[in-house]
Amino acid sequence: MISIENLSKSFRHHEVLDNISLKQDKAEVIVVIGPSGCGKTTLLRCLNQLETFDEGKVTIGDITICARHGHLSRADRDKQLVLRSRVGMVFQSFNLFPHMTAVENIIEAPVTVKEMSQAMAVKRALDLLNKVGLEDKADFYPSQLSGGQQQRVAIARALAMEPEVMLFDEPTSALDPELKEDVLRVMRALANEGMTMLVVTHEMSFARDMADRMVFMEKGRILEEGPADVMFRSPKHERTREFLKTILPKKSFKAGNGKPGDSRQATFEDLLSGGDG
Amino acid sequence: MALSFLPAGVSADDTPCATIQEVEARGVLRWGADAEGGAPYVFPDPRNPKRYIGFEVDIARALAGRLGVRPQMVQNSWDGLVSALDRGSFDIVLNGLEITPEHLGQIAMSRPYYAYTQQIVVRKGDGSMRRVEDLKGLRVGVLSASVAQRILEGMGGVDVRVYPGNVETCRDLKNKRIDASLMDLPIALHYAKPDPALDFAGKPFAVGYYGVGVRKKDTKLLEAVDRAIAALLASGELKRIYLKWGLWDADQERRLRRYSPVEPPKEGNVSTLREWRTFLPLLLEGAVVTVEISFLSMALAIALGLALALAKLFGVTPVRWASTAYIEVFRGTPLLIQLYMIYYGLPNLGIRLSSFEAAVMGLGLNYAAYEAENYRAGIQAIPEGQMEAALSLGMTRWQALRRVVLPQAVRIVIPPISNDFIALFKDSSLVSVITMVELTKVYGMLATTTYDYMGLGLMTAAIYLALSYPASLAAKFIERKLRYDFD
Ligand SMILES: Nc1ncnc2c1ncn2[C@@H]1O[C@H](COP(=O)(O)OP(=O)(O)O)[C@@H](O)[C@H]1O
Ligand SMILES: [Mg+2]
Repeated sequence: MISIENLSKSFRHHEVLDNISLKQDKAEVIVVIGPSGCGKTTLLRCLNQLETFDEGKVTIGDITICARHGHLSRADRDKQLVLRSRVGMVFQSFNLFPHMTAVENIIEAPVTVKEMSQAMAVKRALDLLNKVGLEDKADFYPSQLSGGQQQRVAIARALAMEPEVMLFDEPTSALDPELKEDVLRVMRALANEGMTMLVVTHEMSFARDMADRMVFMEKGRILEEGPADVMFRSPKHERTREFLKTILPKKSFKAGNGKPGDSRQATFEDLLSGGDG
Repeated sequence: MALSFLPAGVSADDTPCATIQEVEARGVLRWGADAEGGAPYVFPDPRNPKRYIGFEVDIARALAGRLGVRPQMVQNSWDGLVSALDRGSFDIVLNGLEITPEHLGQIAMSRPYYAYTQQIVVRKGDGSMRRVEDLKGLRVGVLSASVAQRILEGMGGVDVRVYPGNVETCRDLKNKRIDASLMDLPIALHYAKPDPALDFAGKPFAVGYYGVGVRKKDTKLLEAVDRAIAALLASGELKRIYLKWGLWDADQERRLRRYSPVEPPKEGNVSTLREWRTFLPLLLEGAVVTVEISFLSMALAIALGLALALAKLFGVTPVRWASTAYIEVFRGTPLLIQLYMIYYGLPNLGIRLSSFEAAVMGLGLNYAAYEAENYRAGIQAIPEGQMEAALSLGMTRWQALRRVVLPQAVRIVIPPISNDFIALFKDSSLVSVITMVELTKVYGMLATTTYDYMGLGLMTAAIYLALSYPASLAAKFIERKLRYDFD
């Protein structure tokens, strides 16, 4: 479904993505983790063509975009637009349109891009709002919604374009803890429906329950990838282990300290039992 | 001899003599005139623009000589000479001031120093006009507040176009914006005669007289000036000056000698406030023009400004540069010069706009530069994430702009744009320089004939306020209405 081959990207002389390759199957859920500034957001933006990359090849569905020395062919540039409409993106900061109600936010792209009839678009938007648990907020403006509600509207908005792939960039990190769960629940439901999802998140409960694979990035490279339980249990790299330690829930981490012995194992066991799922 | 008529031993509180005493004590006669476009009366010497020349400069020198003092010219716009004299800005007015009942209602005037006539000027080869009656139904240019304007407006049936200066009148005549021009003979001799493209039509007519203006209370100064003029006429000095400037004609001496004084009007100043029924409709006619020009030019500015802002923000490099250059040039140069160039300059390139079109264009093009900057600031105030969210949904850049960014930016730019509208509304008074008769121009024309600057000013200001205040209320209302939606 997604195929990334030898993707590189620099801002001026600062190499942010360094020869990244990754393949993702249809209906697969991949969780990407890594320290701040390692290039996770940039990777998603390159997939979504919000950023043009310097080198490499990105294939999503049947669309392939190739870059050489920072240049795209004209044909590839035309493909960027089509590709964006097939890839849904959920931002850390929601980015809802403040001058439109929830339902208007959702119907905007289907009506302007797909030229869907207003009535049809509204009907589908209400179904989507129902799905994210906000059927009663259709006529609310974003400023009248909580952060968690806004993010769920944003997910519905992306889904309205019927994307083949959904990209999530730390969708819950701007939310208060008690609001995160509503958003994560929607994401779980989406994964269970068979959506292909590439999720940047540090919500390890979500990774544990939903991720088919985890990817650990550092300094613009993929350092390690594999099934979630394997990465939790026995990371290949010391850096992965250290990083996992910093993001695991405090509660389980404390419990881990209480148990002498293999700290990696203890951490994962804690996550399995004491996590917030 | 110059001092022989000065009374001896006048007391300091003897007001009629105050000025002549002051002039004496100073040793300087200050005379008010307008040197802008003032040839051949008073104008900067083309070879040494710091020096003024003209037949009136020579007359002032001769006159002051007779009074035993030095002349000193005080520059003042022609429209305001009479009121400035009343305010005491100078001692006399010596600047083609016609001896008319209107002027005599306000100030005293000396015996004439020149008898002028009116001359019809046409394009070379246009022989259809011989007499003033032939001007009916035609577009005729006149100098603002001149006798020619009064004659034509009194006659009726003539499309009178009012100009701020004689150069502009002749230029528009050649550009075929007008069919003829009526002007004082000295002006015609100076501006039109040497121009191969222009010609005199018919004989000069409507004799009138230029006199020296003096404050009514300065009776002694008036007597002194009268005597000095009589002496200059008798000694042939006046004739020499007119011959030097090519203004002498056979009738001149006879007319100056046979002059019979004009009766000053009986009643005092006109109170336009008391007679508002007459004056308010005239002002309102001007206000209609002001409103039309303001709305049309603002519409142009808003549309063009948006295009400029989008070009500057999202255009390819040359387009971006062009837009930036436009904005900087139009913001960095005076609107007045832009109006002159559009109206008087563009015909050289074959673009001939009516004064109304030029007014709308000039204001619109100028304000577009300001609106472009308002839009740019408004668009840049919208977070980048809005554009990205729209793009990520598959919208094109243009769709994202139109549907997502601009609707939010509009709310931000409404307050500065409505401020600009009110500023434009007031700036629209500048278009009188390209012969548009709008509210301020009507005010100026009525004030220079009635001298009731205050009464007319209050009425005019009230009209401006009555138009601009609702506009700012409407802007506030729209702003609040739009904000209510999502804040
Ligand atoms: N538009 C940009 N211009 C310059 N540098 C950028 C830009 N966007 C991101 N970067 C840099 O690229 C690096 C990776 O950023 P990002 O992909 O946002 O990391 P992450 O999402 O993993 O925290 C950071 O060092 C960041 O400063
Ligand atoms: Mg990031």
